[in-house]
Amino acid sequence: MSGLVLAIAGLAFINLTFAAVVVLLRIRNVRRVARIAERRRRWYPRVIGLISDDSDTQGLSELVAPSEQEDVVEICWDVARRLRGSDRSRIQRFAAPLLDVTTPDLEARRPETRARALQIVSCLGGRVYEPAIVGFLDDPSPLVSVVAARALCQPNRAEWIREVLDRLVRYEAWSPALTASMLATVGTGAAPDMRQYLGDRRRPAFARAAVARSLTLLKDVESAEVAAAQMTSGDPELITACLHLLAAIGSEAQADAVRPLIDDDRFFVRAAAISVLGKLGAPEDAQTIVAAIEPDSPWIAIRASHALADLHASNELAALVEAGGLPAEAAIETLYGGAA
Amino acid sequence: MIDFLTAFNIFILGYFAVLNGTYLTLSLTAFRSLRRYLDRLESLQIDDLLSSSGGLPISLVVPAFNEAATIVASLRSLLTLQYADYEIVVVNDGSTDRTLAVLLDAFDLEPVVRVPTSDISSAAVHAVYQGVQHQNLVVVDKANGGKADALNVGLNYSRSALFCAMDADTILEPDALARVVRPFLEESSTVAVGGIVRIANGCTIDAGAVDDVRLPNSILVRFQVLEYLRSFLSARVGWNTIGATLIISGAFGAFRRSVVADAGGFDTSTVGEDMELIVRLHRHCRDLGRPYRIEFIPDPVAWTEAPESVRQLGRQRDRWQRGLAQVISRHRRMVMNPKYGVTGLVALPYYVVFELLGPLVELLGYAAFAVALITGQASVAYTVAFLAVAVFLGSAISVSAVALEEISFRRYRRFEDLLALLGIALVENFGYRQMSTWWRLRGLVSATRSDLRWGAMERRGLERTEDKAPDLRGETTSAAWHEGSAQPAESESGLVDAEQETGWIHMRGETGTDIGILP
Repeated sequence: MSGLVLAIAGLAFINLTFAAVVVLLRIRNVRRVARIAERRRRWYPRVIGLISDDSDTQGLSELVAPSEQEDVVEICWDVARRLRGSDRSRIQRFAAPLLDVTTPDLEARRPETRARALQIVSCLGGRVYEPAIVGFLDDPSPLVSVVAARALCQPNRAEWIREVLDRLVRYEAWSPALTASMLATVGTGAAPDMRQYLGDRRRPAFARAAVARSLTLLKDVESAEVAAAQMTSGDPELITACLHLLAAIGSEAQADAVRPLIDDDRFFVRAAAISVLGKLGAPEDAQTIVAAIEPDSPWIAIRASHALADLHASNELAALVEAGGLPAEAAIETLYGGAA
Repeated sequence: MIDFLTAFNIFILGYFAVLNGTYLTLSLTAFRSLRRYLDRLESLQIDDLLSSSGGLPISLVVPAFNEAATIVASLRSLLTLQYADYEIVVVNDGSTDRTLAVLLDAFDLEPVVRVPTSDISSAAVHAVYQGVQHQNLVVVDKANGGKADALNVGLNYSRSALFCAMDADTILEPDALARVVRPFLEESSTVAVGGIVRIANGCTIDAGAVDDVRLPNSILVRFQVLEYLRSFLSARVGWNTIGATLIISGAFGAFRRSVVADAGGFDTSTVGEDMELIVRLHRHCRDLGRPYRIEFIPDPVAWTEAPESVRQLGRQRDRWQRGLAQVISRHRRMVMNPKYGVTGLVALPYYVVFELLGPLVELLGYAAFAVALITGQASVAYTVAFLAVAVFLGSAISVSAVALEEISFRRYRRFEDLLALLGIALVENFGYRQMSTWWRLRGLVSATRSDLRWGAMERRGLERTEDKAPDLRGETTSAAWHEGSAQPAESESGLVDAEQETGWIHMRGETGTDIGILP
């Protein structure tokens, strides 16, 4: 019986403890929010003022009390990550002396803490921290590595692109769209390295596919031949990415490399090849495209219709409309922008 | 007789202890997971992801049945979501009111030809319309076929790598899409992501967005608010930690289109099509040996209205329990099957023992306890132990859910709301919980009947009328969804993925069976 009483007392204690914790958490949170709001009221206008004002940033930094340093860094980060160029530089000059509150977190045990600190330091620390950030590309956590890569992929700053490309293999789990977008941020200065990467068969196909996508975003005309050379790579993801790269920047010179793929076993490669032939092909390719249409395949029908429109093959499109069925619907959708 | 009663009472006590102990363990697990998840959100800013134009296109599929009073406001709200590349596919499921007419009037829609890109079987599609001003708004008008059927049509007519299934009267927070897409960006093998559903009753809604979050006045809805917190922040976060998410709410969930289409789309012959799809996705991916992730994340928020009358609530819980029974019956081969990993070995057995059979055991337990009290067989020790396990342990779980809310999102800012939630955690054990158990038992019984009936004619297009909570903007609507059939989709549904991901280019569907589970 005494054990039972103890158990009940324990359960009641757990309840009361949880409830007390909740109330204490609320009190702490209310105070915290009030503190942050008060510091924001004081410091946000000053930080914003730095953008339009050549204030003495160092003198202003000295006004920040140690107890409010962390909150002020947060405010600076909040503002600076939306800025570029000289505007961001002013905030960086102000925040640099305050960063010693954040840098210890770069060595934190938890990857999330390291990643967050890395974001802040890379945003507010400026170029002086970049060599250290490169080291984080090899952090055991892919999250930290991705954050480091994103920090190094700055607009018109191609000096770190090779380091980032060398670590692309670590980002296999991440969306290729995200990787490609990150690389494209750097701009055309990164294109030569990316071209080389795309053509390097020792690199993993998924990473080269992401690079191909990035080159597409950059509309890098010079990568057309490299992309055409990948048509025989055998990897469908890479081939598809390169087909779309060709659709964006290719010319008739690459059409021969694409034509065999219209008979590829994989329907999505066929569909992409059809689209590219529409862009790069000759008028006589229209018949090949019509022949490639599969009556039950909506994607092929849609792609074929668009390709025929791109080739100005109005007769073939009209014939599709006449023929009825799925290809006709696709042709109507293409011809009339979908209007019934 | 006396020995049997004693033994049974001890069994019941043990059952309650294990059930609540499991739930408490999930809650404690959720504390760590939630903290970690919040840190992860901070570690890579979501708006950075969005501004990088690396976001994935997504189609919002909005099934609508007799939503004339509210659909325009809902769509206006959806059209203002903070996401770069999305389309809205509204599926008018044979509404008998002016739903289609008000859509045509309000959004300047014109008929278009739009080729469906998968062919999951559905009721007949009459016409497709597209907005002249809002080119990303597509309305598909079809014959009535039920919510699952409407979702399948939406799937057929959507063109994005991802789609988001939702209810027509759900209010998404402006950044909800961006947040729900995040796991797809961070992990390419993600096939489904569920967000949190919160109760909007009592909140102020301004211009289609929840503005001021408050607890409702109705005690019945307050009970549900606590249940939702417990379900989403404790149970789902906890299950997600071990990779065993079995439910993504039909009110708000994002999916990789190709995988859902390849798995056959939504099942139109169950009332729990949302849970059924998730269990089937587990099965589908495991059968194919395909790496996959199904995630629940607590920060993308969809607001919905909870039933305010006992009758409506009872019907909702009855339906949820029926849905659970149907899903487990349909996928019984997965239960205790090592092929299905933690889903088959842990999650599904838990759902069978504690969620499906829970109401039966629980009510028998109450009855046995009453008999023991009346006949004087219940010792003081047993009585105290029973009440302790039923009340204190149950309350601890609920209070921990409130604590989870407090350490994470703190949506209920008023101190009195917080205290009210803590009070409800204790009060709900006296009456509400027993009512909920009774509704679920009713659902279990009706599921048994339904299963017998449907066993021979699973796809006969049985019509059922279901409750639907009153709309948030004051209109009460009812939905009558029919049940149809679904056929496997053609396998080329992966093209959109290949292009957008790797290359380029009412009845509320909530099966909230882990909400009201407690004795």
